[in-house]
Amino acid sequence: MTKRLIIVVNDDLPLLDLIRDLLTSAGYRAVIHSPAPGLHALIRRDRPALVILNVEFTDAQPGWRLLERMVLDPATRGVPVLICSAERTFLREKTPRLLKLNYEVLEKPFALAELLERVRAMIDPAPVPAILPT
Amino acid sequence: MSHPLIIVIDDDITLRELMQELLTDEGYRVVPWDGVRGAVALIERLQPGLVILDIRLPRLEDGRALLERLLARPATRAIPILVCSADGRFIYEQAAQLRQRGVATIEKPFDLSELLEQITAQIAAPRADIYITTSPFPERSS
Repeated sequence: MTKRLIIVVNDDLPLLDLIRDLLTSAGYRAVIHSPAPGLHALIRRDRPALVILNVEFTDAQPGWRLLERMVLDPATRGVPVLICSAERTFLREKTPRLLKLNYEVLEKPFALAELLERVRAMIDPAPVPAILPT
Repeated sequence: MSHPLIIVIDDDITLRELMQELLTDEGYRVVPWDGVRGAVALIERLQPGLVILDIRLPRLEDGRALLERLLARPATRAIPILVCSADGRFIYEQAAQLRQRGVATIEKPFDLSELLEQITAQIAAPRADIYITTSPFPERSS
């Protein structure tokens, strides 16, 4: 079976390595990247099952700009994104908007087990139990 | 009928180019513009059907100053404007006031369908009409 691709974007290299090891152990194909201008084109081409994106709310921050492009572009709009941030003000102000757009948010710091749980829920959601007629 | 011209003012080149590509596919003519410098002269000259103006946090004041200039000048004040911002607080606090002045707002990030909905609404309702329906001057009771 083909392993599901997850692209992880963060400028914290040690954390990227940790997350890659975690996801690889869990059976995913994890590709890690520092934020860079070409990432949108890469996501457009590879259509990952999930993007884990670190965002800090300085408006010119590459993570935020990548998110803006992903949302606007119909070719990447449907790619699930788990947005991670340590900025509480950002999370308080933007979470309703991001949830409305069907993205998910995870506040930092988080435990790796919590991250894996969220990843599994987003990529392989539990099937909705059939409602049996009474 | 020729399709309306839209001027997109945004300092993010990738987003600018993406908007140009997507809106051109939708049949609009698009002129992308980097930042506020020279924007007033361009808008005066081209008289677009809509200006999409990104107001970014680091240079929020520049974007607001441009908006004020466009609203004040006789040659540009009737041109519909759609203000985009990633600053949710700015959008919530200013949206009603801007709407009264005929300026629409959209919070970033937004998807193409949301953008097209706003564009259609703004082009269909030039600011002169909006002024009549939402005059900032309260009516006097007799």
